Amino acid sequence: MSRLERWLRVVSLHVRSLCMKNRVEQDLADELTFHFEQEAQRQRARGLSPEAARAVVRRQAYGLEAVKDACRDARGVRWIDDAVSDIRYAVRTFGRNPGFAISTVLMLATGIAASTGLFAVMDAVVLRPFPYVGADRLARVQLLPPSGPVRRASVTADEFRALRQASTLDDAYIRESFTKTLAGSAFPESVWTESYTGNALALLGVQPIIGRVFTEAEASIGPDPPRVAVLTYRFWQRRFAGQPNALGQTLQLNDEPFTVIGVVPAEYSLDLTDVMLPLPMNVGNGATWPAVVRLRTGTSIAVAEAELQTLFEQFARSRENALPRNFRVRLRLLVDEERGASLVPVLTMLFAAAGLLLLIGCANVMILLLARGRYRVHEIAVRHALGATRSRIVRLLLCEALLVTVAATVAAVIAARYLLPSLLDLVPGVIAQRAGRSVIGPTAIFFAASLAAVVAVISGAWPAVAVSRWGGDAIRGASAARGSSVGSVGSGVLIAAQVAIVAVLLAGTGAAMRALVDLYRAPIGYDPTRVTIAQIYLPTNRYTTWPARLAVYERLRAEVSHEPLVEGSSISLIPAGPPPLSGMTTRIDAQGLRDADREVLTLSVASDYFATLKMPLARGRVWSASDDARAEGVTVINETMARQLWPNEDSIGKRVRDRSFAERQNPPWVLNAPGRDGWFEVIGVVRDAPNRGMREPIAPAMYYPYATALSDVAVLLVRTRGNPLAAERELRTAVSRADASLPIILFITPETFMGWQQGEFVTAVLLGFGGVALLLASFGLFSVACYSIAHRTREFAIRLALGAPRSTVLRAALQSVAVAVSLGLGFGLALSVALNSVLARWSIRNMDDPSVLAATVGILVVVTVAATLIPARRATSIEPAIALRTE
Amino acid sequence: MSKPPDLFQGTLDLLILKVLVLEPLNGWAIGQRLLQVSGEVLQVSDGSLYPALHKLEQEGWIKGEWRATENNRRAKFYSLTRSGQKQLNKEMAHWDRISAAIMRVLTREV
Repeated sequence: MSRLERWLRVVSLHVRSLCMKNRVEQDLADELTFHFEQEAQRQRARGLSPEAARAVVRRQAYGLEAVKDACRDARGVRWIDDAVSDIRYAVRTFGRNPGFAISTVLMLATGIAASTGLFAVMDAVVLRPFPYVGADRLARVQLLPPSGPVRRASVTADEFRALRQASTLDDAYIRESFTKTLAGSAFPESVWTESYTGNALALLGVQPIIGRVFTEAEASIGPDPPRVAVLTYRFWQRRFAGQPNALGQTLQLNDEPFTVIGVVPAEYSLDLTDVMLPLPMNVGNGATWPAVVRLRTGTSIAVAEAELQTLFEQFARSRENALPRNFRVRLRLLVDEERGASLVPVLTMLFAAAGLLLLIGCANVMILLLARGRYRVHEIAVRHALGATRSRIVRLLLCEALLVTVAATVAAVIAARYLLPSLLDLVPGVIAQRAGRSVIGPTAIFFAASLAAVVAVISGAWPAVAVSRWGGDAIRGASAARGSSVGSVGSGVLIAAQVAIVAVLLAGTGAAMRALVDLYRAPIGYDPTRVTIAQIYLPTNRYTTWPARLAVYERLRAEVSHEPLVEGSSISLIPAGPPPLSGMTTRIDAQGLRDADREVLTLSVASDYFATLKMPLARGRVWSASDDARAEGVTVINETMARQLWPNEDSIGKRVRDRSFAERQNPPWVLNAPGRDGWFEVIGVVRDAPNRGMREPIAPAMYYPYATALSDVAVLLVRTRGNPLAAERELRTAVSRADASLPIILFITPETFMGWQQGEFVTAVLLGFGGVALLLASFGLFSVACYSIAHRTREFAIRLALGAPRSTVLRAALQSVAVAVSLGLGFGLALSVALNSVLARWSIRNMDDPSVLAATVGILVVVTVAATLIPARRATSIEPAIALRTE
Repeated sequence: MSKPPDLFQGTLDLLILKVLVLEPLNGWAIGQRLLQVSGEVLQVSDGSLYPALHKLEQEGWIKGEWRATENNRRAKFYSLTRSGQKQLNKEMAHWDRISAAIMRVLTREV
């Protein structure tokens, strides 16, 4: 109680001292006047005359003003007063010199805005990739067999119940993604649904913005949960224009009615989810689902893994052969998985580039503050003479840097806040999907503020200390030139640092451009001109027999190929698509091979696949359209497979068996052709095309007639006669003629899936950064060159008057700049080469490419010459007589 | 006299708090009281007294109030607050310990 009282009194006194300054000062004066009067009275009482008494008092008074000052200090608010007057002074200084103020603010704002924007993206993608409660304790359960690939541990409904009881876990849930067909508009729409066990949304802390989410009580584990749907914000806006009356409406998903019960905020649209549904779990027919678990707070992964190991060993005993032998349970944190994604290095690199941009901005501000400080030596000296302490002057100068930084940060945050959403719209699909959640929110603003504090110290401290010292030197009569030479060495170091950073940025940009060009030039094994692809999903409950499914695919092919806009078309079955999309990894047996167990990719494609994509055949032939319909046991293999399996003999006529063909018996997703046993005869060899993305080496692959194993997801491949995206409507109509309820999603062109877009995006951002960096650095160079020449005008004038040739003067003028630039350039190139081996781990290469480095040097030399041209001309055009008179 | 006698750091604070236990006093009276009570030994200069008073006020240990004196002059009277009383007790205890310790050092046969 009394502590609170005291605290309140102290605060109110502080406030009073600050806000009612006149009143406080008056009180102080009154108090001391009273004191001196009393003292005088006392002296009089001791018998002194009034005048003598007052004189004694005056002598005694330690110095009225000094006492007052000491009292003010005792009140503990002095520094605030000083700071206020410093800020006022700094504002006035900038007001008198708006050009300086604006340019420094802009220089810093560019870097801060870029860093803050990228921080927001990093925050959304890397730091907090999931908006869930306890997101950093969510883990996937994996099984590691002694050899072979890692497997997801799937559980039956009973096992799931047991898993939820594990003592090291908070709980577990299951999430499965499906695309479902939504009926009710002009064309059937394909929507991304996520099915969750009833406990999941509460566990993950998903809060609805309107309505409610389904709970464990209403959607318990079982085959038949209630048909309710929770919409994501994205889908709610798209389908219901954000109207609250969406609640209670019915969605026809795969011919089943679902009632909308709630909408969840935008950040839950991870992976472009549209609708969240309760997961139906068929108890007892052996179906399994991959589970996600949440560790208890404070439980280590190893402890949880140990418990789950015991649990899954029990599961393995009751489920014969379903789990690999001697497996080890591993928990993989979802956040780790996310951070391991290929996007992270790209973002980290861009973030680092933004940081470099900011450093260049800081260096520029330091250069400007130092240069301006030289003109302020006299002012500082006068301040010293009037009794300002060194620390007081440093504080004054720091205050200016702080003011610039605060203004720049405010500008940067505002700019980032308004520009980020529209910039994110320009970002290509794969990045946008992840980065779409990024906003300039409290975290980003906090980041910007912390950054500003660091920036203010970096860019303000050295100039403030240096300038205050020059002032001190000046008043002690030390030559002003000494201070200046220290300053020009400082500027030289800054210029060198800037040039080095710009060189690294340019080399990085060059490397990204090289990588992009390489990507464009890389052999892709087919002709992507005017090619577009779309995914077709068969509705779940229809086409459940092999003949019916084949019939609808054949009808679809016929309808699309008859479109006048279509030059050629084909289909393949997911995961097969055009190169470099992958096929399914399977193991094969082959006759006459000692090492019979080999992994290859299998791709189910129609006979016209090769012709449509213009993939050249090396040997043999392709199967015919009638082979397609009969699911003939023939295959076309790629050159890599031919070379690896039969290095010394002709592969045509060899027989191979797809082992997964027999193992794969899980309708309704895949329907094997009746009477087939998985044996194929090689009838042709096709030229190699990348089939595991553009960066991985080509894997052995075999293509076989798609009817052999019909999955319910197909890729429609079309080469159009005109702009492929303009043909979308015709293509949709053609598909709907085959079956009006077939949804198509995503008409995309090779630019997207070839990774070109990402490369183009990265290159564009780096080009932007490199350009701005170059601009900033050239500004720094320009001001240093200008200053060093202006400062030495008198010296040059004397030299010229004594007959020195102008070229000598020019050399003297630009020597220090030239030395700084060459040092910086050398250091920057060395750094680029050194960084190359570090960055190579993130598949960012080519920074040591001679052509890239040569281009960097070339650009920097040109910019240096351009930036120093005007100051250099000024140096050589000095008129000695005029210059000497004016100095 | 222009130089205050050298008091231990914080001793002046202690003395002021102690003097204010009996009754609220103005700054000049505090100085006089200290002089009197100490038998004319401790003369505190205004240059030390007033900053100390302002500091103690700012700490919340004493409270300043404008009041009329006996001869009807306006003066700032300081009184002890409750937390000031606590602070005084704390500092007295501290002082006892320190002075006892010093005495021990000084009186010890070497």
